[in-house]
Amino acid sequence: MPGSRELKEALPFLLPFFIFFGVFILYPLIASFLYSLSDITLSHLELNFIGLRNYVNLLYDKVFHQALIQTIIYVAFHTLVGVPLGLGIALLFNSEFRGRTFARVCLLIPWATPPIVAATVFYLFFNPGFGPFTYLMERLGVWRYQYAIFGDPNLALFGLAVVSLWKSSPLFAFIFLSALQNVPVDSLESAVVYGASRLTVIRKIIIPFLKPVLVVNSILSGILSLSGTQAYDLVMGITGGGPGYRTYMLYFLSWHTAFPWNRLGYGSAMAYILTVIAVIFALILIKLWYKRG
Amino acid sequence: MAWRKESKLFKALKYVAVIAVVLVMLVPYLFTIVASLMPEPQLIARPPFPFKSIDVSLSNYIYVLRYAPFNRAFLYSAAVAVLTTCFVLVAGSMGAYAVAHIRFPGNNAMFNFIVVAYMLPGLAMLIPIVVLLKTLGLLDTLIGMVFAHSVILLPLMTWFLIGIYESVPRDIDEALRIDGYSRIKVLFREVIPLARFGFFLILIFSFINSWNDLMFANTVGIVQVQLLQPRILEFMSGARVLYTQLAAAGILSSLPVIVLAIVLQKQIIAGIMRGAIK
Repeated sequence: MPGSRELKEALPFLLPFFIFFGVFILYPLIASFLYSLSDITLSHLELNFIGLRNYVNLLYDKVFHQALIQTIIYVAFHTLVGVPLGLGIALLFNSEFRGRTFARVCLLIPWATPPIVAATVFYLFFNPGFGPFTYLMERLGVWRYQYAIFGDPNLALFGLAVVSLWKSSPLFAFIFLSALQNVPVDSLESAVVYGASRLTVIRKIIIPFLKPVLVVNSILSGILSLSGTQAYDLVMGITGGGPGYRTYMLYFLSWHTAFPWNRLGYGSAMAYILTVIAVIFALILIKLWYKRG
Repeated sequence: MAWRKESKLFKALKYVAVIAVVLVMLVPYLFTIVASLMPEPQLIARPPFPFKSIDVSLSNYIYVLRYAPFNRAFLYSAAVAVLTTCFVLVAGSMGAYAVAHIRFPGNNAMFNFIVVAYMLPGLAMLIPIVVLLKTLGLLDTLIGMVFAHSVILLPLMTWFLIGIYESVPRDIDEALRIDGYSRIKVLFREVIPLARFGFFLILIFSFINSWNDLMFANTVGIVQVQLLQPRILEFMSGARVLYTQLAAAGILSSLPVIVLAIVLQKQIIAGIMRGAIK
C-alpha cells in the first residue's frame, strides 16, 4: 500500500492527540447525543432512554423559543454591525497617521481582556447610578434619570451586543488588516492614475478583493456570538439572563438547563442543535479560508 | 502609495475617527482602573468620576489581595494555565509535526478534521466531560481542569502549529534522517528550535486562552479548584455588590494577559493576522 511507511512513522506522533481526542472530544460528542435521548441528571447518572422526547419538548418550550429568537437577533446584530465596524477600523488603521502603533496596541486591549472582565468593565461603565456614560447620556437628554440599560427588557440584549462588539470588533479589524496588505497595488495605482476617488477605489477594488475575508469574518462573528465566549461569559457576568428571560440565548440556556437546573439530557439536546449549526459554519470556513497551500 | 494628497478636511476627519476608536477601546477599561482606586462611597456618589475630583488609594487592591480565596484562585489559574499550555504544546507539537512533515495517507482529512474540532461549541463536550470526570473522580481537581481546558485548546493550537511547522522546510528532515536522527529528535532538536518564534506565540496564546476561560472553569471547578474568572462572578452577585473591590479584582485578573498583550504586541498582532483566533 502506498504511503504505509509514512503512516507507520506518523502514527506515534498522532497518538497523544488521538488518545486525548478520543476520550475528551469524540466520546463526549457521542455521549452528549445519547444524553439528549435520555433524562439523565447529575445526581442520577443513568442513561434512561426516552426517545426523541427532549427534542419534541423543545418544540413546545416557550423559554427555548424566546432564547432562539434572541439568539437570532443577537447573532444578526453582532454580525451586521460588527463586521462592517471591523472593516471600517481596518481601512482607517491601514492608512498612514501619527501614532498608528499606539492605536493598534489600544485595539489589543479589548481582545486580550478576559470576557468576564469585559463584562465587569461595562457593568461598571453602564451603571445607572455612577456609570460615566449613563450620566453623560442623561445630561445630554438622551437617557432618562438613572437609566439602566441592562435592566431594560427591550434593550438589554442590545446592551450585551455592544459589549460583545467592543471585545470582538478589534479581532475582525486585525483579520481585515491582514487581508488589506495583499490588495494588488498595481490596480490601486492605475485607478489612482485615472483619477478614481478614494471612495470609488474602496468600493470597486478593495471591497471585491475583501469579499472572501468578509465571509470569513461573518462566520467567525456567527460562531463567537452563537456558541463562543461572547454567548456565555457576558450573559453570565452582566445580566444572568435577565430581566426575566430577555437575555437568555441558546448557549447560555443550554448550560443553565444542564448544570444549575441539572437536566443534562434536555441541555444536551439544545447543545446538539448548536453543534450541528457550528459544524456547518466550520465546513464553510474550511472551504473558504483554511485551504492548504 | 500614490494617493492624491489628502485634503486638510479629510485628514482632520481621519484623526477624529482614529481618536474616537481609541477612546472607545480604552475609556471603559481606564474607568475601571480609576474605579478600583476610589473609596466605594465616592464611586457611588453622583456625579460620576470624570465630573468630580476623587481620592486615590490602593485599599481596594489590599482588600482583594488579602482575601484568601482570591489569592488561591490566582495561583490555581496560573497553575492550570501553565500545565494546560505544557500539555497542549507537547501533544499539539507532535500531532502538528506529523501532519506538516509526514505525507501519510489521510493527511488532508486529518487537517480538516482538526479545524472542525476546534469550532465545536465547548458545551457539547462539557456536559459529558463533567460526567466523565465525576466518574473518574477527577471533577474539581487540578488535573481534571487541565484536561477540560485542553479540550478547547488542543485542536486549536495543533491547527496553528501545523501552519508554523509547515514553514520549516521538509528537506531538513530528510538530511537529518540520513544522518541517523530519529523523527522525534528531528522535531525537538531541529524543527521546534527553527520555529521557536511561532512556538513561543502558541505558548502565549494557550496561556491567555486558558487564563480567560470562564465556562469550563465555572463548571469543572466547584469547591476545591476555583479559578480566577469565576471568582469575579462572586464579587458581582453578592447581596450587596462591592463595586470598587469588583473593579480591583477585574483589573488584577486581567493584568497578566493585558501586560503580555502590550509587551508582545507586534508578535501577537502578527499571530492574530495569521488566524490564531477564537
